[in-house]
Amino acid sequence: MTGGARWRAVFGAGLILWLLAPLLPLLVWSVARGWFFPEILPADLTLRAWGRALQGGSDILASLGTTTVIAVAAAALSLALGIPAGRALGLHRFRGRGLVELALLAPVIVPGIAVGLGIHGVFLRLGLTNSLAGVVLVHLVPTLPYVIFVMAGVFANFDTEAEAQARSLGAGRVQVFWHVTLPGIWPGVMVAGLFAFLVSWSQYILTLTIGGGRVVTLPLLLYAQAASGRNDQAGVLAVLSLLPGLVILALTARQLTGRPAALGGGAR
Amino acid sequence: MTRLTIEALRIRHPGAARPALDGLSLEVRSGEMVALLGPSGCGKTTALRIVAGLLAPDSGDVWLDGGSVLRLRPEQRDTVMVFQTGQLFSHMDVAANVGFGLRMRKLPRAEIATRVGEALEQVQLAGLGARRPDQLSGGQRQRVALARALVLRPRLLLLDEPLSSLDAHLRGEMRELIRRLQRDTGITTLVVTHDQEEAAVLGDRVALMLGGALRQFDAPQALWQRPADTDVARFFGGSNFVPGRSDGRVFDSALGPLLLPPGAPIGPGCLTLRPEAVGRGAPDCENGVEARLVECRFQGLLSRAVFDIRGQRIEALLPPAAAQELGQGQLHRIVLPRDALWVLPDADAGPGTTA
Repeated sequence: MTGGARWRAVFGAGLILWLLAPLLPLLVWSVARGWFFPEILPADLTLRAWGRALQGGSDILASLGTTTVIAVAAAALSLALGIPAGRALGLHRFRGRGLVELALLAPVIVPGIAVGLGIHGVFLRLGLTNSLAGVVLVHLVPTLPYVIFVMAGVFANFDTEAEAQARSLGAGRVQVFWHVTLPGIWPGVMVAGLFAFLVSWSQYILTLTIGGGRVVTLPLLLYAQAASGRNDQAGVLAVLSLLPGLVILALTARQLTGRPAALGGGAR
Repeated sequence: MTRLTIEALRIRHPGAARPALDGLSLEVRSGEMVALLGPSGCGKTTALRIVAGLLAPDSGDVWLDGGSVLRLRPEQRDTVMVFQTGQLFSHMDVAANVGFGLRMRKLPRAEIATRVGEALEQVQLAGLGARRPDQLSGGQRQRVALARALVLRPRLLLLDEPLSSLDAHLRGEMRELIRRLQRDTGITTLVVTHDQEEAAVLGDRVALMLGGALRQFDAPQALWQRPADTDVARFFGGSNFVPGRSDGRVFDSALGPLLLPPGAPIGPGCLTLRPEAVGRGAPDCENGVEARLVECRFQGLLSRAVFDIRGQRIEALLPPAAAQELGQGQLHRIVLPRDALWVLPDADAGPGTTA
């Protein structure tokens, strides 16, 4: 190993520690039977919290399902809307383009609570409050801008001549999309979809305002348990919340960066 | 077999001051290969895209045999365009690329495999079906693109600068291949190029476009030897233009009387001849004139000599050995061969009339 590679490895390890260390206490809490100052580690370890969480009919399992359904639906919907929108932004220069971009960015800039309260009035009239569908729709507010901007970047580098060539070879519009466009933008679709999934997965304020407490997702349970001092339950929930992010990172590091370990630094 | 008729195509791209096509009409006979030649920006690729259905004209029409195809979408026209860059689909191997159009037409797998194999053989790439496009050379990629079009047996083949992305040594080879495949298959073909030599070799007829309109449409030799006007002559490297008057047999101008070939037009006109046709003459040869050498420059295969004849400038391309013997500023006898002379209809031949 050369000197440069060694420093890279050290730096990489430091970075991983910096990012992961704050998460470790959560893992410890999830298996602790009480953990009091000045103990470095809890005296007694137990899997009771995990057992309760994962047994049939538990509220945690139910909310895990709800959260997954909402995140998948929000990601799919924001891709369905965001791919054509990103294409328009990425490929065409048109009057008012800057305004459109600003409007798209607005939900990211404006605090979620303001957005949520505003939309709540509208959704109330539409009968979308306290429902799964309403929560999925309101999650589009934060997910859609990510998808549109990722896809706009992808389309800015996309050669539409490939589509013209496919048309000339006898492919209809739908065939062109499936056989030429989608394979061409696939890495971008993956990134955008995963972004959308994770943003929806960790959404709290919007779920609370629109779901009205009836649609219970993991973040809602987590806040409730943390607020009521159930640190072992909160630890379990926190670890479960982290899982998709870590799994996705592990599964896609190779695809997204072109090498096996995105954070591996010198270790190749 | 299909006849292509292009009728008065007109299109102006958004924001452009001048129309890209200004009333282009053209007919390609069944089984013929026509080269659409012109400088870059003359609208020839635009015309090709309109015929392919990838662009809609402001007005005009495109016919295949008896019927207008203007309302048909590109995938319904049964015309295939081969793009300048080849446009191979990088996520498919060679066989999948060639079979793309057949798959879109939902043909049985076995038939697709057979026809793909045949097409690859036609372009001398048999056995390379499993390669990926990035494992191919530029020439191979262009041949795959050609096979991908030919395998569909289209009514009309459209080639957009098929050789311009290739190295010089591959061009000749590819040119012959295109020529041979077009003859063998008899597919009516329109090929766009900015290269005169390419147009001459590929085209049964050459259509010269300048500034969005057709300027001359004829056999390749005719464009070089009997240009329609000074712009056409200039495009093909013509540099000698002498205003004067023809009586059908003799052309009278600052150069003195010169004998014309049979069939020359009568009236005021502009005499032209290609610089490579000018030669050194024996003392009393036909169409010989006394000329003062103004300038002589070596430029490779031939040297460019500029003569002055009573204020009229004549350029000649001479073999370097012959050019070296000429003394600067001295009088020499040069010959303007009768058969190389051509009279253009317009008398306005001053410099700067090129569009």
